[in-house]
Amino acid sequence: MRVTGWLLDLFTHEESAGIVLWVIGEDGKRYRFEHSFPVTFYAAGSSPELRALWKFLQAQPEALELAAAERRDLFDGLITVLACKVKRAFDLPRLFARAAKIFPNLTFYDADIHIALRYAAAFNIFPLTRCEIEADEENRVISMHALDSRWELDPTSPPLRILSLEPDTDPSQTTPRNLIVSYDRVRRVLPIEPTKNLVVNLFSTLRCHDPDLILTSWGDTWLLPRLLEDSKKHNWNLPFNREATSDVILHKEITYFSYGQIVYRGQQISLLGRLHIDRHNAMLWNDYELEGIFEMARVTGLPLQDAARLSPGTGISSMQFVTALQERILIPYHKHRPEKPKTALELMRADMGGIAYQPIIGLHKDVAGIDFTSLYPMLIVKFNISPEIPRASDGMTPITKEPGIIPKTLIPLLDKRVTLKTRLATMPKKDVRRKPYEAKASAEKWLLLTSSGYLGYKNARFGSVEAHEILTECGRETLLTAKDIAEELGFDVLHMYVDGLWAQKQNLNKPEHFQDLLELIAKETGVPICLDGVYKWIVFLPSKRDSRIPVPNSYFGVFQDGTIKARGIAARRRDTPPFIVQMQMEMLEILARAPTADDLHEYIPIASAVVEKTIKALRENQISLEDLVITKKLSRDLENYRTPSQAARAAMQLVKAGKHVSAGQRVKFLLTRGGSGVSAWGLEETFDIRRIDIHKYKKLTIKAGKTILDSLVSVDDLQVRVGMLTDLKVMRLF
Amino acid sequence: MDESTLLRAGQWQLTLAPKSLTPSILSFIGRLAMDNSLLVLDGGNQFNALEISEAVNGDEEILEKIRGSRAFTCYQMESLLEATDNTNTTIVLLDFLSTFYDESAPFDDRKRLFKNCLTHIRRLSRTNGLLVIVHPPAISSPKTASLIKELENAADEYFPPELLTMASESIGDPDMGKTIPTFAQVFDKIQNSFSKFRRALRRTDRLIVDDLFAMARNHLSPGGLAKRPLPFETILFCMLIEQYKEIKRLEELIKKVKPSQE
Repeated sequence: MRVTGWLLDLFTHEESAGIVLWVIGEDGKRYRFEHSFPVTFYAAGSSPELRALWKFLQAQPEALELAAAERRDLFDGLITVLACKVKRAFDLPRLFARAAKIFPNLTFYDADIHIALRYAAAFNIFPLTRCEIEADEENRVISMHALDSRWELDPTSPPLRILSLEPDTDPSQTTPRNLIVSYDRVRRVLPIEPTKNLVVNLFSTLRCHDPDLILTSWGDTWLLPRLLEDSKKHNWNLPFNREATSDVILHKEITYFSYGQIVYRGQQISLLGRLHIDRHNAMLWNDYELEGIFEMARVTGLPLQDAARLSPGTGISSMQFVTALQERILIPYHKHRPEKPKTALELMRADMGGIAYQPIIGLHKDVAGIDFTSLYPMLIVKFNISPEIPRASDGMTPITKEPGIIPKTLIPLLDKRVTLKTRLATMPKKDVRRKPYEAKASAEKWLLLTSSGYLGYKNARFGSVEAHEILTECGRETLLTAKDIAEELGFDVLHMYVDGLWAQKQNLNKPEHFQDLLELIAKETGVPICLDGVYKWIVFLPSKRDSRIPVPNSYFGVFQDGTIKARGIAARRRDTPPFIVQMQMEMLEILARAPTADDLHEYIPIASAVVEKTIKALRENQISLEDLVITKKLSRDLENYRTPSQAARAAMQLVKAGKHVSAGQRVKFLLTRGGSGVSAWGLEETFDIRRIDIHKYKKLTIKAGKTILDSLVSVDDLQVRVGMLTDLKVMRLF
Repeated sequence: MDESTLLRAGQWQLTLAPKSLTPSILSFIGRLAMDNSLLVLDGGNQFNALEISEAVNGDEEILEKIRGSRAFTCYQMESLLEATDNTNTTIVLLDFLSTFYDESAPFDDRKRLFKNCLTHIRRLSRTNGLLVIVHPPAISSPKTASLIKELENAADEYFPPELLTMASESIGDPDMGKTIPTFAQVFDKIQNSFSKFRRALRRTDRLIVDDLFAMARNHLSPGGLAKRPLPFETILFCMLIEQYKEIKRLEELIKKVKPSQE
């Protein structure tokens, strides 16, 4: 049998001699194949211990082959290892766990690599790769090869059958009553109670429609666990898995620290042979829905269900593992290699972060926003920054041209993203490829962003703090060089932040005026650079605590084509209630209408009237409750709060009502009068709008309004400003 | 207090100190290095060289005598100790248990590596003065408590954390002797150390910085006599004097131009 189709899912299975592959055929059929795929792990150490391990492994019941081999350790070069080839991939984790426990002093390699990554490295077949399979009559794979590559810009996509299951409300707030079931053009609303009817209904839908992907809302944390429980109760085994003999896979909820932030990851439910993606537990969902997830899986090699729920670093480390496997570089089970000793003085000089050049506070007109394209990944490639690459005495120059494992992993990803961005730049707005291209570019951007920080991460197998220090040094040097060039050409550098630079020169306000600057910077630094745009005007904001102190990356401005760009203001924050986001954006849209910065003064009164209008609406209860909702993250577990924050007080109400909350979770609430001052969102079926604390919302409104207006009027214009605001009778607001 | 007498080869010492004592610990490390070369093995990202520099008044010779290596996982900590040879260097294990508190490594592994580390500590302490500094974990558990207990039982001697703070009180009375460079040399060194800062400034600000340093140079001799532990304080003071002189000059000028406003 010969089948052409797309790889949907693959996994090891207790009852399979190899691994199980689920493929969507071009003929519309779904195929289950088994592929014999032995996997190998390695051990290095003293000869007596390796001999003992050999004997131990020989005595194990699992089918395996042992051999002495030479393999490359990234740092130590070729080393002699004991290779243990396990015939059935399913056996490896347990066998390895036993060996590692008895021989803890040996160094193990390739011991915990995801089966999908091993498969991707071996056959170049990544999730959703179009491939051709030859199989025998028992669906055992004889040969398999890829028909496209993960770097393909327009791969053909499989015709996925999608079933959507969506409760009518957020279960963490109120108990849903109905389940909205949709597939193809069918949309049904099924009552959740009585549960037996629902289970029977879903059973037949799953059987008849046989979806490839079950797309849910709160499926990980509420819907699927509940449906599974109900199906058990009524003795109807809901066929969520295509793999009939297996249970669904449940990953427990966890809370952890990542890049200085507390992160909550809810419980996850994965299926076998079918995919489950929970919209509320999926990365990049809001911007790009499934396309972003598909791209993430395609380029990393992680199965779709894992790619949808990626944690920082997992994507990029998976890509590094694939490179290592393909280059036959050993992947250590633990990172042992410590930092090379440095003197205190060397440390003082080396251990520095990126550059953030404080902006000049206030309003500036005709400013060029200049972006380095994926600066840090580009530097990794340009300077060949990888822990194993030896460097000249200046620390920055690599002494070999052969790319190290880190740049080698990044080069095709960078190329793909640059090509996508180049195509997007000239693509008509209505082009159907636009959305998938943007989704892909966005997924790739996320991977590239994490690639630089991951270099210094303690558990990164191919990371090293030295390599990270070299990278930040290259980053600082590149930005300083850019600044030197700009100043030499007579520009004022208003701000530099990570990979962006804002420059200004009198009477220059057209993109072509900045071309020489861009070309010279790109030439001198060797890093591609692009003009984000020329701002008609831009405001760099001061610190909230001290108006004399500038804050990096906190600004708003308007490009010449009228596009607004804002960072660090309330409208950009996730915890801001929607009505304030709307208000700030409306104000900016009004200001954006000013033809030049010199005309702004005519629009400031109109923008400030928006604040007044909003406050009036607040007072008259014209703003819907949904728009008043504040969403904040719980920074710790409830019992660890000495003085509970607003979010903690709202979470306490949820707990009291029998809901489950953990540190890192986001809590929605309203500001209310009396009691604890907050009211958890959705707890009460009918909320008395008179309980809203208008005063507190008014304060928030004024603060958000002031952020926009204050910086637009300089001290010299104070007279004008006071007069203007008095005229508009909004002085009382401030 | 002479810190060099506190740590002697043949027995290793343990300090259990709250994390808030870190600045004192770093000052202590700085002063230890005045008499010995020092190896700091840091398990908790505590090796703040700037803080140490302050304790030794930015003396680069002393800072060169302190070598440090950071471990970010318990696997790395074990490898670090394993790779350390018996030399005549005083060894300080800074925030030693921090990586062993990290629950992302299985406890069986942590315990085994911890025991290996203890063996290395004993080996190294035969020829080197060795101090292990441990902070309590952010979230205590019976597992982490058992590691601390085991460390306490194994230590040859307890080094009270008060000694670290008492020692730090001696900062104010440095006997610098003849090894201290002249103020002019120190001035050059400090001004050079700002070269990167200066380069990062806008052109207009760069000129101001040059002016400030230039003005302060008028006071090199008094500056040398000031003998402040941090020479940069003196330089700043010199800049202030010159600035105030300028203000005075301008005030006088205004008085002359607008005498009627008196």
